[in-house]
Amino acid sequence: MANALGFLTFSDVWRSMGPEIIVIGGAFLIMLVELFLPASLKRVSPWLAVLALVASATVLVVRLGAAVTTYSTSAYIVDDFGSIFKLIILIATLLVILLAIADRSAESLPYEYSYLVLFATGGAMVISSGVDLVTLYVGLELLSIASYILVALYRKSARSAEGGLKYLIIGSIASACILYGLSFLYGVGGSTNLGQIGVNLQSGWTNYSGILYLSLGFVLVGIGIKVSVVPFHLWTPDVYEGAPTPVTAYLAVVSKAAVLAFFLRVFVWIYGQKFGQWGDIVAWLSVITMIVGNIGALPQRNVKRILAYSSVGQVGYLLLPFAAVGSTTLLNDMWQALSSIAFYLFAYMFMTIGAFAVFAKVAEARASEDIDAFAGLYRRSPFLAGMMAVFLLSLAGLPLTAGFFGKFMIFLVAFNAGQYWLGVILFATSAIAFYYYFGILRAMFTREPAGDQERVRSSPTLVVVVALCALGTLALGIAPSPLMDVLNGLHWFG
Amino acid sequence: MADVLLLLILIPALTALLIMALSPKAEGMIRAIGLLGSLVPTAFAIAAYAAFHHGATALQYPFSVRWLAVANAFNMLTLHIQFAFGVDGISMPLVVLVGIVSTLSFLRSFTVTERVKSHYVWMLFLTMGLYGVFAASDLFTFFFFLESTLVSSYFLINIWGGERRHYAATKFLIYRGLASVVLLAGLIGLAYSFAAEAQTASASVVLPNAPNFLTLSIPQLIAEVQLIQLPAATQNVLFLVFLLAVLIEEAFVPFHTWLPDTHENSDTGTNMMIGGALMKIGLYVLLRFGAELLPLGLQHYATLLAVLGVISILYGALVAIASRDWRRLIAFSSISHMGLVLLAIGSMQAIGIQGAVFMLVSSGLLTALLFFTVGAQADRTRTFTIGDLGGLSKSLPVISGVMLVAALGSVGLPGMSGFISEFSLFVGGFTTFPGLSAIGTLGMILAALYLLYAMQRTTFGPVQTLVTEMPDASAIEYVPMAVLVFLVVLIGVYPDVLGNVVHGTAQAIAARIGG
Repeated sequence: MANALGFLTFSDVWRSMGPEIIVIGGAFLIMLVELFLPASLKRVSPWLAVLALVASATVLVVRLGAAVTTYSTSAYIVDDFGSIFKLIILIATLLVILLAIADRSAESLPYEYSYLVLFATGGAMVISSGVDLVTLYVGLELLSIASYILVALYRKSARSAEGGLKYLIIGSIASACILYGLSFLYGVGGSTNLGQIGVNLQSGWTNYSGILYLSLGFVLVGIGIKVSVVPFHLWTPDVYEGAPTPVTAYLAVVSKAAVLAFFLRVFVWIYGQKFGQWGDIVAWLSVITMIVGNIGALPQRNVKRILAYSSVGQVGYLLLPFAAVGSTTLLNDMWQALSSIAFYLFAYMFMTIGAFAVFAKVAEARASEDIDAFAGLYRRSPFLAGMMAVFLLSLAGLPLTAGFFGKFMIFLVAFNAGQYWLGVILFATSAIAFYYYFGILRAMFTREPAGDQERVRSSPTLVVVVALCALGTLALGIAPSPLMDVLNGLHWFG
Repeated sequence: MADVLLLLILIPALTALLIMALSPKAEGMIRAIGLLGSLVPTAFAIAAYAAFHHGATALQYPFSVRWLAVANAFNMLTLHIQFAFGVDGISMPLVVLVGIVSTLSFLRSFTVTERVKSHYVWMLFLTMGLYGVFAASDLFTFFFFLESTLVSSYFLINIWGGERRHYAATKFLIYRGLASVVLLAGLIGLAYSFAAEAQTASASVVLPNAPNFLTLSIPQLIAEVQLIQLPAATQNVLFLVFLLAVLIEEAFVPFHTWLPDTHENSDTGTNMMIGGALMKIGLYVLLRFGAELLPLGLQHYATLLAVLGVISILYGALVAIASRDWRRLIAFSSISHMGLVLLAIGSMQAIGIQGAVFMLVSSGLLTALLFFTVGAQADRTRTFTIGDLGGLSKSLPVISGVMLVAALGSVGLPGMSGFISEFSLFVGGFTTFPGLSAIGTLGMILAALYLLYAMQRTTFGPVQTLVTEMPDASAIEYVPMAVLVFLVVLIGVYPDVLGNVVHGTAQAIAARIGG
């Protein structure tokens, strides 16, 4: 690879990695600036991060739908699949940073988060576009290591430290699993390039199927841990609870989206030809994730844990389209599955970050994460209560919200593939989820606040974050057409 | 006039948004605007009813805009989802029913004093959802509005309900949420089965929506069903899926327990909406999708429908006898009456189907009237318990009188809407299932028993209430009672006012299912 870089001009590199360069460059810049800024001016640094993200997203959007190009001897590819995931990652990161700016609670976050988040996001973007095992792994580690620090960012809080340590240990195991699995792949495929491995494996499957399934198993377990697929989800509620809320939102959205991109890319490109033989595993993982995630949320009283379990359940929905297309070999069906995943990720991003944003404010106002903190919110802050209702209804998959169309699209994929039972489980578990989502709604609208009735005052930034998320949720729920048309027109892997 | 159905949706929705912008303290203004927001669509609905073209079989007042397209949704076909409306002889009367019931419950809501603003917003959203459900001519549009009724009713029960309102609201949500899941599976299965069938059949038959056979549009599916038939096995499976959804949705035995809990724990206005309009959705689904689009499925399971119908008739009536609370009694009575409709649809006769629609309308009006009068008396006596009431005919002659009218109408006294409905139902029923229908008529006798017995205990006998000074019906209470009694009697003495509209569509459906 070092040699290959010699052939590339800077404009080639810029064309392939422009958005990433801006993000990573921005991160280094903020790290330096932050060092020299006086304490009173440190609050500028997150805004610099916002600037970098906006610039990066602008460069990215211009490229959407452009012809596929590979660079640096095929370590990196610019295709619509990568671009759409990067777009999701960038928008989500932007919302998370705005949320972090708004969430100036008592234990305010150290400003280091602004560049740590950018580093993690850089890693996430590399994952979306990497087509080389080494590149992919470097991206994954960049994302993971930055996230470990982010979780433990409340240095003085025991819960944050506990969450950070847990995440570090479990996450490292996951990384090790993935790396170990990839090493088998390299051994059989004789290359680190995904495309090349794919070609070499056409004959390799017959001779080395045992070792290839072993590698598939390891990678699947590693990814399962990272995106918290049941039964590898047990760390999720603890880490989500311990982490600062903006970081929780980041883990729930950006981290999951990036690892999902890794999963889709590697599994479609490499293991795809034997899909029929392992596709059912993903189907079953998706089913138990939907069921366990949603049932796990039922007894919870801590809203952050409810949202954590709910995000486990949501991963089940996100895996479902992939599982459903196992029975088909049509490329069009694969594209349809990918657009439904992308659509749901957009929906998931808006509703999850929005819900965490409202939660952060409410929990801060009451100094409690219990569901009782939401009692009578409609009196204390009609705005937050109304917006939270939008997010929860969307998470529950009710009409006029993005979650409804997202689930509907996934449902169609399952139906198209003839996997009716997956579609039915999708909606049956959604109906279970009504119970806890409506539990929060009920607390907000039908119970009277205990103790003081003081109004919850939201800062302008928080209002902006929450309003943006609600706007996204409602816009995708009322007029999903523009986004659907974009997704329908994409070339995905080219 | 062309886009009148769209207005029915838009006016309540926009009114709700307008009310959201008002201060919660401006209660008078909110009430006035809310009433207007429900009255204007009702006027439009009645105008549309009056101008309804009796002979035509196509959906009337069609409106549609493209909502979104999903590429490669099935067999490389693109799925076009539309926001589409249109009514025929079955849905038109139900749309008017929604209008009348909603406006009258808005009048009733004048007595709500707690969180007035939110109450009117949710009531308006519920009204919008109900109009949407009955006016939709696209499967997706239909489902969309169905789900929206779930949310608005949940909040109406949960905030303004009675003692066990949280329990009742959650139960309502879970039951109806599950019904929606099953229904959605049925709707998508229906569309996909038709698409698959149409694709194969297109070699020999020219289909109206070629080359894209994947459609969710109800008129297109109805046009297709006249040219091609789904295989019997597919129809049977789909029909069972729909039937399961309908059984939960309509609270038929054994899924009935949520309805009495809901009615017992909701305020009167909400009860009028739920009992008067919302509870007609399930059977409308059965007529629309079961009878119209799955004729072989209906034929195959006709006996099952009749048996389930008779079970609900008898069970509902028997439990109603034992009910101590007026609202539970009405709930079970309505389950019993809806069982009749199931029997009638099972009969597959034109007159039975016409009777089914008559019964939906008649029971909607009478249930609303019963809830209203029972609620009005409870405003004064503070109780719904039948045993605690007595002698109301002396202190509240007008309200008790109207209550008696509603009870007699439900029992099926000639000259009122209940009679003509039951008469047509049973003519259809006896043609196909003489034995089962004979058992079903027992339900009528039992209805007379429980309604009149409860009436007798409430209105006659010794005065038991603690409240001595009780004002009779106020001016604002006269309106709902007068309107509902008028309509019940109108349909009773001049059934053609409804029959002319229903007749054509009922004939067309019956012809397809071989009645």
